Amino acid sequence: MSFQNIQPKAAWLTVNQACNFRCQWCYIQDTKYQNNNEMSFELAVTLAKISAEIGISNIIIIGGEPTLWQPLVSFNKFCRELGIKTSLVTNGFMFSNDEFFENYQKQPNDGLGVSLKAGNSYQLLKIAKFRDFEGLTKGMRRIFQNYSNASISITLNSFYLKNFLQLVKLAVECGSKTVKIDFCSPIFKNGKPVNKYIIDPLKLVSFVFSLYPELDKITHGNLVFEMNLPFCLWPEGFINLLKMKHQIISVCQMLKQEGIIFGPDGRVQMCNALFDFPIGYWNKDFNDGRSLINFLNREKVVNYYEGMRRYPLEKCQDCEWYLECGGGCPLRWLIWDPKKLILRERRL
Amino acid sequence: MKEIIQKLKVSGEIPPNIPTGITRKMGGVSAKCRYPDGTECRCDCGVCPCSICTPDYPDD
Repeated sequence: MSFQNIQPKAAWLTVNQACNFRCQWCYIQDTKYQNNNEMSFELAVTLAKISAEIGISNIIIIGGEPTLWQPLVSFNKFCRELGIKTSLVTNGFMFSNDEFFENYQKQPNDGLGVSLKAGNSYQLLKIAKFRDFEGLTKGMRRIFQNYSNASISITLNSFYLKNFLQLVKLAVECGSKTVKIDFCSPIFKNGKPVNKYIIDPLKLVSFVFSLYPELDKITHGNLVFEMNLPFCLWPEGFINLLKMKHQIISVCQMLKQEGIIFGPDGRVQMCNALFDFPIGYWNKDFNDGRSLINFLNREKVVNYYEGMRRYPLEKCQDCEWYLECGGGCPLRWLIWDPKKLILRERRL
Repeated sequence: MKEIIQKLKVSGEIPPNIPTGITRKMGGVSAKCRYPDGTECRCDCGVCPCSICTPDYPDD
């Protein structure tokens, strides 16, 4: 084992598993969206303090749907007083609720990431089991009218193959200045990885490449791909083009070993999708900043990270793009065999 | 976690380096916009050029 000094730079707090949507590709669905499984304010405060102790200055609040978490505004206030910036990842619907919005405005987050789920009312009902499309767009518009540091992200999955441009146009119409597109990764059902709503990687590449000119135009170039596919799958020159236009970010927090994710009960997860595979717990494996760093650098934990970081293929060892590519999301290799997917030599 | 790692259909080799990836400020281009006098935008909106600091910026 090589010693890797794991020192997170950002923390994700999964504050609840309850959600007002039922998106069929969501990693939370295997938890059954339990309303009573949420992080207490006291635990959130404790984890924020521990995060601050180890130099983390950015906490991302996720769920479930964190706008349903009653202590949200109080927690935002606490973090602000502690000097920690917070970002909220939300579907945006609750911002259409006047009472919620009035309270939220007292202590908003420093950043807002709105996850757009559908391009029209029929699609919202079909894939998220939610009827109030008008309320959703009202909530999103309110966010962008009031908060400049907010943007929309869309997880591209098989539901969107026929109307993806409609979603992106809606994002821009609601006021988002930037649209981030990421590609659906495997989730777990009953502990087993599933790829039901994931677009086959080569089909995905072809789909995105063909739509790119229109995506670039609709967003006025303010488009970002969160690239979790290997770079070599893309047509020659495309990755370089995205880099030149500042339209790509790559390598997840897990592979970079820069993040830490806490579950509602204080469990430590390596990735949102891996909530059922915790690697440790607050108050059992750590209780303050120093013991957290010690825990993350234990041989067992370091081995977990190294295991996830392995090259997809032997030839990736010689790839000049490896440090920027990282091989893409490692969870894909639970479903696909890289030997069958990464077939050709590509010049990027 | 061990069972997940064992199921990954990967090469088995552990890279000596951590992938560093491509980063950019979320929500905006990496270059900050400038006022007409050359000073940089400090609004930190992340979506430069923006209407907050350059109200006369021409539309595309």
